[in-house]
Amino acid sequence: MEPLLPSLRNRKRYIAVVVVSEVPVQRNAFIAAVSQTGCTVLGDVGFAGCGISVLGFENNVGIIKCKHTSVTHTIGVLAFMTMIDGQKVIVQTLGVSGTVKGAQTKFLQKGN
Amino acid sequence: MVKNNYFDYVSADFIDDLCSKIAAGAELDPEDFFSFREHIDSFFKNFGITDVILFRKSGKSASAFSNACKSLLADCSAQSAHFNHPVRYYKGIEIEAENENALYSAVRKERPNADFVAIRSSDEKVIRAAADSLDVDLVIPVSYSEGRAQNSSPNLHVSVGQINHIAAKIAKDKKTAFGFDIYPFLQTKGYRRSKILADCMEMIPILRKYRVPVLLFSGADSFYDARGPYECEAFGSLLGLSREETAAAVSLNPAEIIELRKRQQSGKMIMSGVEIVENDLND
Repeated sequence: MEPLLPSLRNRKRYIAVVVVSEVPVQRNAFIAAVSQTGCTVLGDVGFAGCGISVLGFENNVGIIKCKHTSVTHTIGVLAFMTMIDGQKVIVQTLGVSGTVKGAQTKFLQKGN
Repeated sequence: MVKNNYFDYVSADFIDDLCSKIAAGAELDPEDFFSFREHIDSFFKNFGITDVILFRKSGKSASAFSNACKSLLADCSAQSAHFNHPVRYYKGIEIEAENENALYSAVRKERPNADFVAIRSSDEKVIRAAADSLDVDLVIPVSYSEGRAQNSSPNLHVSVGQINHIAAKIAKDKKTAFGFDIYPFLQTKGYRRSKILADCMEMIPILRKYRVPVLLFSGADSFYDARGPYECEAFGSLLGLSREETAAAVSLNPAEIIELRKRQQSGKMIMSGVEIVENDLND
């Protein structure tokens, strides 16, 4: 299928996050927790409308993609996350960027 | 460019919990509170918080503030000219009163010792009385108690009070703010969380109409309840606040309250609406 024109695609934002926990969190567990909390907080319809997906997650640091209109809702979902895989966590938002590269350079490589 | 201060309102127990985590991680001596200052500051700084209101529940004795909290607060009370820490701490009291009379007596007792007085109640009469008091800085219309909820792992019973246009108008006139914390939302889930959210959402249009200042904060009680200004703003937008309102709720509104209270404590405010702006008119 012919790909959509760039002007017809959804505009996206990339949120850099860090998970504060005692034990490192697994990628699959993080993805499951995001979708579960998202469905609980926003409802299935609201979660689908936000277009939230986890792009990458490694060493408790990750990037989450969402629609540009639903950044605050996505951060709200992350703020409501308290447990991942049975252990207490804080999901801290580092910042929001318009590109994956921007999110990586501005927020994830800053302290390293 | 003016740099905004970002406020948070956390329990004194939170600082103790944070200290124990720091002590475990950095192998510090738990008795050496001065060595904790840097770590506590950097924790808040990582979240982007510059001003922290430490609150203890009213009714507990003054010693309810642990030594760690006392050292943080002492540093800031001696601040002024050579205050060079990245984070500033204020002493707050949270009063949970059952009725108006209990509220008045508790406020009268606690006000002189605190930078910030907050009332937490879901009772309409208490909320209105608190909004009407000049000595109250913040009304939190969400109260909670542990141990009454069933079939839920975070065992917290939360009740939300209602406000009407009269209470909102009084709050605006008396410059009393309304605040919402994330903590009860983290401790509940499912239907009960959505019910609390719905009750809080109902208040927002009334507060907006009468331009009552709204505050958003974490209200953290333990280490894992900590949330930054980003998250507080997002929480506000879930409640139905606009982007400008959420931005003001974590920075400008608390700063104004603290500033007003400082002016009152300086003795220049004689009464509500009357303030000495210049000491000597002959100069």
